[in-house]
Parts: sequence; C-alpha cells; structure tokens
Amino acid sequence: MDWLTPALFGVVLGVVTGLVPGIHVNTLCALALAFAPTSPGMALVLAAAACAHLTTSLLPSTYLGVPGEEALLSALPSHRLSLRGRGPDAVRLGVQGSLVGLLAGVVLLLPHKWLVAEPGRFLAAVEAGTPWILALLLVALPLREALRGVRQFGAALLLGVLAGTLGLLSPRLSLEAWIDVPATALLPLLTGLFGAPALLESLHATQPLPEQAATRDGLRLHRAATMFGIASAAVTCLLPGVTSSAALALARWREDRHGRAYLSGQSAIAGAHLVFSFGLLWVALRPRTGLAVATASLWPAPAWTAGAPPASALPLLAACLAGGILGALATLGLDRLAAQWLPRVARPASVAALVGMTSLVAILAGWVGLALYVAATLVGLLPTRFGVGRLHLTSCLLVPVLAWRLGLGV
Amino acid sequence: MLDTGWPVRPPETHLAPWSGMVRTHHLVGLAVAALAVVAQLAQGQPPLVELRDAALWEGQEVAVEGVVRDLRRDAAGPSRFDLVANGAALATRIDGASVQDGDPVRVTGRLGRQGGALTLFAERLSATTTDEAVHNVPLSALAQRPEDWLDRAVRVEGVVERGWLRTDGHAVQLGDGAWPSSGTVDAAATLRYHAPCACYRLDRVQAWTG
Repeated sequence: MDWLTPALFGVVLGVVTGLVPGIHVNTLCALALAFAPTSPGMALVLAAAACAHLTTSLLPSTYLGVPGEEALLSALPSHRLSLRGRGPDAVRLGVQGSLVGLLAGVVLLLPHKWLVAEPGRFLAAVEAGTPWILALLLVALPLREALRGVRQFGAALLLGVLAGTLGLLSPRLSLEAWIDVPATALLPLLTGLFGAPALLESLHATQPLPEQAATRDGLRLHRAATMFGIASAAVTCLLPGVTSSAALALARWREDRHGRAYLSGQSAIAGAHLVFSFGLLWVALRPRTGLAVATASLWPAPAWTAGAPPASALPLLAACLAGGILGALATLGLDRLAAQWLPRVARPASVAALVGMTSLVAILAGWVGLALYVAATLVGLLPTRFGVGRLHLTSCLLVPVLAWRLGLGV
Repeated sequence: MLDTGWPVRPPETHLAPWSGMVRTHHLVGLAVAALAVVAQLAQGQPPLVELRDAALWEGQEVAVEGVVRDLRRDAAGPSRFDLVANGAALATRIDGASVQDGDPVRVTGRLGRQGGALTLFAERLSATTTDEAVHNVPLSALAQRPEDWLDRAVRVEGVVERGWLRTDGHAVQLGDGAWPSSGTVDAAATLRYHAPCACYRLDRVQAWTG
C-alpha cells in the first residue's frame, strides 16, 4: 500500500502540532479517534505525526516557559541550557537522542519480540510481577525526593495521593461528549495534569533569554544514558501505567553541568518507547500508549505469534522512521527561528493553546469532563510550587492500574 | 549533525498580572476542593443508555436494558450472552448470574473490548419486569412490520383462534406461553423469530384476560 503519502501528511501534522505548546501526541490520537475515518491510512498519519512531534516539540519545550532564577534548580535541563544561551545544544541533543531511540527500537524490535514472547516469555514474568513493580515505583518516587529534603518528600507524597485519587475517580465518572463520539476520562485527566499547567506556568514572568547559540562542537550524546534509556524503554513499555520517564528519573544520572545525560536519556527513551509499544501491540495485543490504542482501533491486526509480522508492521515502522528523520530535519532547520520567535509569541501562543485545549476537553468530555480537567489542572500546578518534578503525577495511572491488578474493584 | 549556531536576540518580557497572587497553600486547598467535587460526581449511578448507543460509552460504566439471547455458560467461567434490544445486540459477560434465554434484564457494567468486539463486562444484573419494557402496539403493526418489533416486549389485544391472535383482518401466530385456546386477550408478550416455521411468533404471555 501507499504508505508514503499518509506518512508525509503525518510529518506535516506532527511538525505543526509539535510547535504548539501543550499539544501532546495523545491529543492528536484522541482527535483522530473522535473525528477521523477508521482506516490504515489514518494509522500511518498518526505514526508519522507522533515521530515528527517527538523532535519538533523540543523547540517550545526549550524556548518557552523558561522559569526565573528562583526556580532554576527545579528547571528542566533544556531550560537551564537556554538560560545559558545554549538552547540549540539542548535541541540538538534531543534530536540526536530521539533518532537514536527510534532507530534502535526498529532494529531491536525482533529481538524484543523474542524476549517478550517466545522463547523469552518476559512479558508473562512482568505481568505476574506487575503489582510489585508498580508498588515499588510508587514508593521509590517519593523516596527519591526524600534525598532532597523533608518538604520535597511530603510534597511528592501529597502529589501522589492527589493524582492517584483523581486516577481512581475518573473511570467512575459518566462522561458524555457534546458531539456523538465516545468520551474518555483520560483526555481531561492527562491534559489537566500535564498540559494545561505547563501552559499556565509559561504565562508567568520569565527570565529574559540571552542570545542563543550552539557551541562549536556541540553536546554529544551521553552514551551510557542513551543506552540505559533504550533498555528501560524496552522494559517500561510492558508495564501498564508506567511512563518511560519514571525509569529515567529513578536512574538519578549524575547531574552534569549541562544536563547532557538527562537530555540524552529522555529523548532516547521517548523514541524507543514509541516503537517498542507498537511491538507489544502486535505481539500481545496490549496497547500501552495513546498511539498504540489509536492504531489498534484504526488498523487492527492479529497477534504476531510466529512467522511474518502483521501486514501493518512494516508500513507503520516506515512511517515512524520517515516521521522521525523528516521531523528531525525540520526541527534543526526551524531551531534558529524558534529561538528568536517563540519567546516573543509565548504569551498569545500559550493563551490560544489553552483555550483550544479547554474547548477540546469540553467538546469531547462534556461538563463532567471539564470538572475533572479543572481539578486535574489545579493538582498539576502544584509540582512547580513545591519544586518537585511532575513525575509524581503519573500516580494517576499507576494507582488505578495497581488497584485493578489487586482486584480492589475500581 | 547540522550546525544551527546562530546568535539570536532575546525577547522582552512582561510580568503576568496574577503572578504571586495565589499562595501555595491556597492552591492546595483549591485542588482538594475540586477533588471533592469530582468525588461527588463519581458517586452518581451509571447512566441508563440505549443499547444502540453503547459504542459512544465505551470505557465507561453504564446500565443497559435488553433481552438475553444466545446464552452460553462456561463450566468454570463467566456466562456470555447477547443483550438484544431495538434491533441492536451487545456481547455481554457476567460471572455467576442466573438468567435464562429470553429474560428481559438490566445489566450494569463497564463497556470494553474483547477480541475487538464491544463487550459489556457486567457487574450487576437485575430482571426487568415485562411491564417495564412493554410497548402498546396494534396487531396490524406487528403483522405488517414484524422486524421493527423483533425481541421487544409488546402489549397486544385480539382474539385467539386456532393458534393465532387476530384482529381487524390481521393475524400473528402464537408461540410459547400461557395463551388461552380461544377468546379475547389483552396480553404482554415478546415477538420472536421462530426458525422451524420461518415465521414470527408471540411468546411468553405475562397475563391475559378475557
């Protein structure tokens, strides 16, 4: 089939949405499931868009929402670099890491299948131990903050409880979209916890950015962090409710001056996780990401137990690679313009994105969804106030999955 | 990799008017209050939805009414059946319920996917009395367009004559249930397709008078 045309369309879509702050790949998937026709072509569009979005979204995340000096310690490494005038280095590192992660995921997909299914049967072992793994994560994340202080530990606990409660309550809500499409609680929940707060915080006063310039030799990928990122993506993609960032955060890479390890690992995880989650979908029919859920609906495939992969595999992987490579080129080409213009249009862009996001939640999840979105946004604003990472908000997924696995009837 | 090293001029900044207005403990209080609102909203009963609209509620807990069809019981597993109403059917599975084929029921559970098919994973099942789902229907409508009333509980009136219910020149064959051998009846029944005779029949009369 013609995979190139939908893939190119997806690249354009991914590049455009990647430049819009607050838009996540899952938002694209929710829109596609709600409005787009069910077809393999749409699955290819989403795959390419997701991979292009991986790199292009580095631009707003590097040059927008940069906090002031008082929040420097909790700022993202990319923001710390842009405050030093080296935002392009952060972008370049992210692009390199994402591409390496994507390529590694494609190359290692078959060995990953052997590990996960027959003969390794690693998935069965992971599923048997999932409650323990999730419980360990829920304990480890706040304990990690305890190393920074009691206040941070308390904040992490509080965030875990609040987000976990939201996660437990959201499936029990009766959501009715304003149009005739299925409503889902995940859209208001995740958009409220992660998307809207980032946009609201970007509206605050920020330190003016100095002139941005890449260093002559640039930052090179941190090899160990990149390999760890790829390996952890291969494992975390098997766990329901666990984001790949959790693994990276727990790794506690030595905080080098430039955040090179963090940036390398995070971007490699993102790229590899995307491909490995496709692999899990094909091998075990377990969609673990928004993109995998959308693909399962748009282009269903039988389980890949032996022999050739499903018919959808090769076109989707090709679309991923096309999206990743073309998205990377677009990102590097737009870097200079983004460094110059994004901070100038930060406020109107953030306001527009916020209005659009809120409208989308209302249309696709109704009034009850809006209430969930508001509650999630208020919780999502707390990490920055306490100076801890947003990672603790992932308990909105971990807690319900753990409760379900323990048979607690939620 | 491409070198994009270009120095760019920094933009000006503006102070946000609400910066610093909301203290952290106020924000925590607001978040907790909003959470309480969401908790209150989550206490409500699952909505009763039309079976044909079930796909719009995928992933959510709902209540659906219909008639049990094609009941299959596993020896040590859940019961599976198709819940049928108004020309639509929904695959349903439930643990340990005592239902019979043809029972009108209200099923509460979560809509999900099993094997790619929309499935109602039932948590509670209750019988609905035939009266709750009865439609007063003229016999002429049943006789002329039986497919519109298939598997639906209806209330009909007519005269029983040699295994048929007749009125105003229309007739519908009688099926299973406590039908009188003759006389006027005003009864609740379910119109079903009977494969051996390739015909539609009225089954399971709830009550009759006459």
